[in-house]
Order: sequence, then C-alpha cells, then structure tokens
Amino acid sequence: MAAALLHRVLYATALLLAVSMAGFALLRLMPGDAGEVLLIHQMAGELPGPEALARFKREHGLDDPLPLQYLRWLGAVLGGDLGRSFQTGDPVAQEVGMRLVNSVLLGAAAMALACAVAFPAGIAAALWRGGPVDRAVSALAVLGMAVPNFWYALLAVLLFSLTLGWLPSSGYGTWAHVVLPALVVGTSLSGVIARFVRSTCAEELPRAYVRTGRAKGVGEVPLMLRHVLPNTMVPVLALLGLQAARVFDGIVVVETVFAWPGLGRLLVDAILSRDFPVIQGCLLVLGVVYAGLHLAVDVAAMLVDPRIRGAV
Amino acid sequence: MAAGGAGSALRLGLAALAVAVLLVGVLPLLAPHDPHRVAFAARLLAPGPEYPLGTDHLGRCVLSRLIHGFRVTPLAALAVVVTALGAGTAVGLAAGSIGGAFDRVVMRVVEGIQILPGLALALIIAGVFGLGLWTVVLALAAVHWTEYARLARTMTLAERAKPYVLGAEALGAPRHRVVLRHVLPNIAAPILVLGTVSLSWAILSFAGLSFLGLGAEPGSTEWGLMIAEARNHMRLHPRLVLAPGLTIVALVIAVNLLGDALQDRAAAGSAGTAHRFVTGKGRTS
Amino acid sequence: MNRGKAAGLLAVPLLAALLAVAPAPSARANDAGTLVVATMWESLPHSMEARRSRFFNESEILDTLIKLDHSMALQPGLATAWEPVSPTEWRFTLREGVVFHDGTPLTAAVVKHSLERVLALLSFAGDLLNVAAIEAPAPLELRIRTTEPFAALPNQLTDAIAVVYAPSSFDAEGKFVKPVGTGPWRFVEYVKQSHTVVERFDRYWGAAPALDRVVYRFIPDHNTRALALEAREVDMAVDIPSADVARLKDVKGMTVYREPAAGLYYGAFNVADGRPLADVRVRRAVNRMVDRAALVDAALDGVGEPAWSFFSPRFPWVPDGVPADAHDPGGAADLLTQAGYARQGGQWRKDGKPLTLRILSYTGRTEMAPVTEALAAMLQAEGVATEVQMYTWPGMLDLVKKGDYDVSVVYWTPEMTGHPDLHLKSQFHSRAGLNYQNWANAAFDAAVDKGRTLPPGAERRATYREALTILHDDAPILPLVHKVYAAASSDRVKGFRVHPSGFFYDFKSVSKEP
Repeated sequence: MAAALLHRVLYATALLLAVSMAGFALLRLMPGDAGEVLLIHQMAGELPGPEALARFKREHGLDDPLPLQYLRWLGAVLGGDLGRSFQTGDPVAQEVGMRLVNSVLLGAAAMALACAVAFPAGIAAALWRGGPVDRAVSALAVLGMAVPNFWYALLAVLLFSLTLGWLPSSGYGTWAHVVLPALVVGTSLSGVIARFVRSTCAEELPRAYVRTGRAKGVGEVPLMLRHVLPNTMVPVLALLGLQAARVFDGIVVVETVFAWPGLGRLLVDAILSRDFPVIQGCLLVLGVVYAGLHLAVDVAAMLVDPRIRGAV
Repeated sequence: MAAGGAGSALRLGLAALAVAVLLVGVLPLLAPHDPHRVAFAARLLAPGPEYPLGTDHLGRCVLSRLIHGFRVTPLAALAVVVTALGAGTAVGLAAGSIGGAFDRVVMRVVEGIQILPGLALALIIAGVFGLGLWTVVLALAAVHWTEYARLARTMTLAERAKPYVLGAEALGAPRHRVVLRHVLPNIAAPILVLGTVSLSWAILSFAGLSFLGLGAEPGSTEWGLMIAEARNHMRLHPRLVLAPGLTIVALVIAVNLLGDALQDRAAAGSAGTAHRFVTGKGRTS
Repeated sequence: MNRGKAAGLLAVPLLAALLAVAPAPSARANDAGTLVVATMWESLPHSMEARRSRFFNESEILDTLIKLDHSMALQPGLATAWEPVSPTEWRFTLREGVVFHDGTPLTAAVVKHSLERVLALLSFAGDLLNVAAIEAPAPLELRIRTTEPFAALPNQLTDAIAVVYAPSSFDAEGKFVKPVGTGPWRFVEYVKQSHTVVERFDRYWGAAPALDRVVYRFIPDHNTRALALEAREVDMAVDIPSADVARLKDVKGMTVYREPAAGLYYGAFNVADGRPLADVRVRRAVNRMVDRAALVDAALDGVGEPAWSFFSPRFPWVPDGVPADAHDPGGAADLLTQAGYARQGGQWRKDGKPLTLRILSYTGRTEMAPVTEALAAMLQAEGVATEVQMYTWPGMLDLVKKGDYDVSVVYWTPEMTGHPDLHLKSQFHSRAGLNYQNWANAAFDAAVDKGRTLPPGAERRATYREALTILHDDAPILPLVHKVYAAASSDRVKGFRVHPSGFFYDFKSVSKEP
C-alpha cells in the first residue's frame, strides 16, 4: 500500500511539474517580447525605450537561458509569488486564492446537491427497475446531458428569483446566493450520477451474495443499502472524482451568469482582458487542485476497497 | 464475433450521417430569408406568415438564423470530434500495439490531461493563442483526443488478446498489418459510439463558449451567441432565447439517443466493451 | 478500515471547507435608511487609479474644489470663489469650517498636498491640470500657477481626478490607502467583487443627506442588474439595458430615468499606414455609410441620440458652424470609388481584396455589444466586410496599443467638464497619452493647445470651431451615439435626478419611503 501511495504521489508531482512548465511557457509564448510586454504594463501603457527595455530584461534575468529562468520562476511560485495582474496590478496569488475558495464552495455545494438527489434516485431506480422513478432518472439524465447550462441558468433566474422571489438572482454573500448556481451545476450532474448509481447497483444484483441475502429473507431495501451499495463504492467514487473535473467546466459558465466571484469567472475575465499573469495563476491553481483531488480520490478508493489496497 | 452488431451500428451511423448532411447541407437552402440581412423597420416582429419565428432585434429572420446555425455549431463540434478522434485513435492504436515505455508515457500524458478540467484547459489554450472560431475548435480537440486514445488503446489490447489476432501474429503477420487489418475494423463501432458522446459535449461546449463571447464572432448564427445577443430582449420576446436553446437541447438529445442506439447495436455483438467508457461520461458547458 | 470511516474521511474536509467560507449576511434593500444601488463597474475604493477615483466623486465621498450644477455651469465646491491673478496663475478661496471624515480641517496646505499627491501618483494628471506650482499663502487661500495661460483650469478641476483627499488617505510613503474626504458620505466597507458601503457624514459642510447609508452593489451582467431591481434585491439600477428602459416603465412600482447626458459612443479609427483607414476617403465614406438614427433604434431601442459630431450640440459652449455628415450611401460609394475600390457582388474590393475592417470593442459597458453588433451589420449591408471581437476594456486596449485593429468602438464623456479641452487634448492630440490611433494633425494640435489658454468668448469659439472642423474633415473618428443616461429605481426612491455629466449620483438629495 505504501508503494502504491508513493506511486500516486510521484505521479501527481510529475503532473504538477508538467503543468508548471506549461504555465511558464504561457507567459513566454505570449505574442511579443515577454520583457517588453511586462515592462509596458508596469509603465501604464507607455512604450519603453530600448535602453529601458534592456535594463529591465537584465534586472529581471530575462536574457538568461530558459531553464534557468524557469527554475527561478518556479522558486518564486513555490514561495507563493505568482506575479501581478496586468489589469489591476494586484498580486495574482491573493486574487486566485480568494476566487478558489468561492469556486470550491460552489462546486462542493453543487456536488452535495447532486449527490443528495442522485443517490436516493439511483438506488430507487435500481430497486424498481422500469418503474416511474427509473423512468424519471433516465429522463433526468437525458435532459441533464442535453440542456446547455447557461440557458438553464437564464431560465432558472426568471423562475426562482423573479417569478417566485425565493432566491437572489446573482452575487454572493449569503447561503441563499449559493443555491441557484449550485442548482444549475448540480442538476446536470445528478442525472449522470443517478444513472451510474443505478447501473452499478443493477450489475451487483445478480451476484451470489444478493441471492444468499434474499434466501435468508433480508428485505430488498436493507439488502440494497447494507450490502449492494457498499460494493459499488469504488466505481461510484471514481465517477465522482471524474465528475469533479467536469464540475469546474460547468462552473466556468455559470459563475459568469450569476456574477459569482470564483475562479471560472476570473479565468474568463482574464482571457478577455489578455491578463496573462492571471491566466497563468489560474492554470497553476487548477493543476494543484485537480492533481490533489485525483490523489485524494485514489487514496479514498484504496481505503474503501481492500482489494485495491495491495494492488495498483 | 462483432460483425453483426458492428455492421448494424455502422448502418445506423451512416443513416444518421445522411440526416446530418440534409440538416447542414440542404436545410439552409430552404431558409426563407438571408440570415444576416438586417431590416431595421422589421425589428422584433412577432411570428407570422412572412417570418415563421418572427425577427430579432436587428430585424433578422429568426428561423433562417436557426437553420443556418446548423452550419456553425454542429460543424464546429464535428471538426472538434473529427480532429480529436483522428489524433486520439492514432495515438491509442500506436500505444496499444507498440506497448512498452511508449505506451506508459503516452498513457501518463493522457491521464494527466484527463485529470484537469477540460473546458478550462481549452479556454486557456484558446486564450493564449488568440480567440476565434478555429482556435477554439483546436483547443477543444487538444483536450479531448485523450478520450479516444484511452478507448483505442484498451480496445487494441483486448483485440490483440483474441485468438484470431494471436493466430495472425503467430503466423508472422507484421504488427501494424494486424492492427490495421483486424483491430481497426473491430474498434470502429465503439469509437463511433464515443464520437456521438463527444459530439454532444462539443456542441454544448462550443455554444457555451460562444455565449461567453469566447467562441463565434458577434453576428454569427451560432446558437449560444444568439442566446447571448437576445438576452436584452428576452423578457418581452422570450422566443428569441427559447428557440435557439430548444434547438440545442433537441439536437443534443437526438445525438445522445443515436449514441445509445449505436451502443446497443454494437454491444449486441461485442459484449459491451464500449459500455464502460461511454456511460458515466459527464457533460459540460 | 470500514466504509463509514472512509466516507467520513471525505466528508470532513468538505464540511470544513464549507464552514470556513460560510458567507456573512449582507445588507438588504428593505431598510428605509439604506439605498442599495446596482452598478455596472466595481467601485474599487482602495485604488485611486483612473476610473476608480471617478467613483469617489460620483458617490461624493470626496469633493472637488469646483462642481458642475445640473445645467453644467460651474458652482462652488470646496472653493467658494476663484479668479485669475495673471494669465498663468489662479487664486482660489476655500470654504470655511469644512472638516474631513477623520475630523481634520480643510486648509489650503491640505489641498496643496492632495493635488501634489494626485500629480505624483497619476501619470495623466499633469497633462490635464497643467500645473507648474501650488502655493498656500493663507489657511484658506490656494494659488495654482500653470505652465502656460490656462483658462480651462476651473473646468478641469471639476474632473474626478482633482478630488481633495485628506492627508490620512495616504500612508507614510505617500501611497494611497483609503478615501478620506469632505463629502456627505463616508467610506465604510468594501467587499471585493460584491459591494461598497458608504454612510452619512454628519459634519458635512452642505445640506445633510436624508439617507443613512448607500450600498453600491457590483452586478456586472447588464441583464441581471435590471433583474435584481425587478426582484427587489436592489432599490436602483444604473446603466440598465435600453430594452429594459421601455419595458420597466410599464412595470408597477418602477420609476425609469432617461435623460441626455455627456457621453459619446464612437469608432476610433486606426489610421496607421497599410491599414484601410489610412486613406481619409475611406474614413469619410464609412462616416456616411452608417445611418445613426437607425443605429440608435436598432441597437439601443431609441435610448440615445444619433451622433454626427464629437460634442453633442445640446451643450451651450459647443461652437456652432462645424460641418457634419449625414447618412449618404451614394456619397460614400463615390468616395470609395475615388479611393480605388469597386463594388463586386455587393462587396467593396481593391486589387481583388475585400475591404475588411477589424472592429474591437468591450462588453463591460451596457450599450457596447449592441452598438458594435449593429454597426458591423450596417457596414456589412453596405459592402464592407467586418471582423468583430469583443473583449473587456483592458483586453481591447492591449490590442489597440499594438495597433491590431481598424476600428475600436469606445465610449468617452467629452462634455463632462463643461469645456472642450478635456478629451480633444487627451484623445486626439498627437502627443496625447490616449491617442493610439496613429493620427497626428499639426493644425489640430495647434488649435487645441491654443483653445485651453483662451477665456470664454469669440476667439475661443473660433479656435475650437477650427479644431472640430479638422476632426470632421480628416475624420479619425466615427461618431455614433450621444449618450442618454438610463437608470431605474423602485418608486419608493424619491428625488433622484440624472446629472448631465453622467458621473454624479447626488444621492444626498434622495430619500426612500418606508
């Protein structure tokens, strides 16, 4: 198990190194001379003279070989220095950190909402296959995968904020503000998760232990909850890990509609503002978060499933 | 053997392709108006005989724009899928048949890309190389090929373990011949199934990016962009937002149902090898 | 390990994360003493950089020495009187008994310190204010010497850049930290990406405001901003989409405000060599192609005034007799033909290449996307191909600075100081910091440099008439729409008036019914 764990940690580290190289390349790939672009932004848009540019590049080591520049940059990044935003001049690390917290909050709320709906629905669908719940789960999954969530968000605001007046239409600050964006991201997820829970549970049903349980007179519902469900935890956890990556894809769009100050909106804004240091910061943070998440899911799977504990 | 199932899946795929050609190639010819012609005197008209779905805020025929939209979003999505499918399948086949260190490195890269959030990664790529329709298409393909690489590799390994392929290899057939002759035809069906899944993903992603102003150029008949541009008038003229939205929903459902049907037929033959890879695939945008 | 523990293992960090960021409740719109206003820009009160200090003035946290009344005439602010001592020196008499929010008194020395900080911290302030030296010979007497005769100074001092900061606004190194002013509102709280709160300042020198508190909520999405008002989450929304102006009038309990104000949407041409708009005939042709009246209707549902000139003619100080174009597609076609273009298959071409304009704009301002979209559609209908890209303001500016555009659709408020100098000098002068159009015209430079030195009168009129005539004839711009300010509030909000500068809320005279 220790070896397997080490293996996963090493992989996550290698992934992060690759992401960091991409992030480093991002500022260097930027159209135009990197030094000149950085200097222009420091000088509030005035074009620097050639001597000023040469001095700036010397002082900031932009004439050094790229690997050296990369190592120096990596050192700064590890020390928490992600540079400054072209747009606001604020430190990128601070901005990205605040936005990350908001996105994690929204993502976790969406995931929680989706699981709260999907698990009971999926289990019920597996128990009564072909019944109304099963059909509803199928329909939800089909719709959830087909409705563009920016469109859904527009309609949901009209319904829940304007017509019913239940929830605020945008912004953040209270729990009520989380509900609507989480609902939009969560709905589509819940369909996928419910369908998966249903199919993995259904696959377990023909197995011997289920037949044994039934023969012993264990009821269908307790059998499902106590015996079948735990055995589906490994694939379900793997799916949740996979979906966590998809959550952010949904968040990118939804945060913009709901003016939710998260990482997704920051990224879209930075791209439209050509704010390369912020784009770079977003990439690095996403890399860390997802490599970490993936590692966590792997470790959780090892802990849950004794069969995997020794393997991998 | 997969022949019957895969063959019928291919026939269904071809039928779907014919419908797609009709939608993209022929339907726009039947549009009642030029989708780009502005008529300021005819702004925001209600549906009527002249304009079956009314006109938008610049007096353009909504129905004609929707119909012409079949040439934007689905084609861009198709370009994403074809690029990803081509590159990913090639990489997966190579990894599966060459094996060894090459396989390990390729699969670690694939895994790495799949761990990261795809749409955000695509956005970053497009943002760095300059926004625009084709940059976005390539950026989406650049994160999506991994799905095909993984599937093609697994299928290749599975096929290569089958007796007839082992036999062919034992008889001294060169490995690439074996792959092209035996493996490729048998993995076509599951790849096609995955293609439908990624087509709907690409449609939603592309529409979402255009809605955010990161995809199609303003004025285009892209559906997500039409929704964004109609937002100012959606309260008094909800059809301007509902029509393109419902078109996307209908198209994506159709593509997904096609995918399910393909999967059922393919599974009928090849014992559902594709199943694992296709179910549980999330949606985005 | 059993599965319960494993589930717990996942749940604990998740719950901890949720609780750690549990958001605090924020102000709601139902308190009668609190006005909640939804704004398009974030107020950013911790920065005094360009657009930000505008907020200090429009929200009246800080005052200027001289203000503009609702007819755009100069009126006393922190200065009660001003007069030229010589062509290059002005004397200002400061208001007695004014205190800052931190309790310190307003004196000439403090104003001197404030203006000197502004000049040191904001690079473009020097160009705007033209200051050579500032002196404080007596506690309430301020003298400003200018580098050249500068009749425009009192008007320039109404600009937000010249607000008066208390010394405690800056740290020991002279860096700006927070806005401490003399205005009726005191800065209280700023929550990033969410809102800024100001509270009534009870020792304000003028009439006390009726409200206790104003909350400026940042809602960047234009539709959502109007929707938040309709859902009663805010009391007022400014810069609402034009489509909502007509619609909200018919919604019960809403008041809609719609008044002409300073502000022009225009296309700034890149006239660099090798670009299609390097040719003045093409620039003038484009000016004649676009039907401004149709543009106002199509893009802005009529909420705007068709613009054929840089300044809206409704302002009394704008010189008359400046030539203006009219919608004239025939004349445009003649000009393009002269420039060597021929129309083939509906498309203007030269040497086989279609006439294509790369149009950039930004989405942050409510009207920008529809105006740009309609402009592009109109040009296409006239046979000019377009490549349109929408960015944010900084994103667009980055490309504009690189010269990677033909037309950037922008918005400025050229009338907002009640004097022609401000934007002519800062946008079009060949040495202007904001001139990214590669346009340089020596006669225009000379007229603008002279105009700012002249007192009001016939000579000033003639000078600016000359400058504006060059601006028309050489056509570095495509005027599109003169601004009509659009806002809406719940009808519980009383006493709001649109200020014609477009940058002044004047909430001190606003009240809210319970």
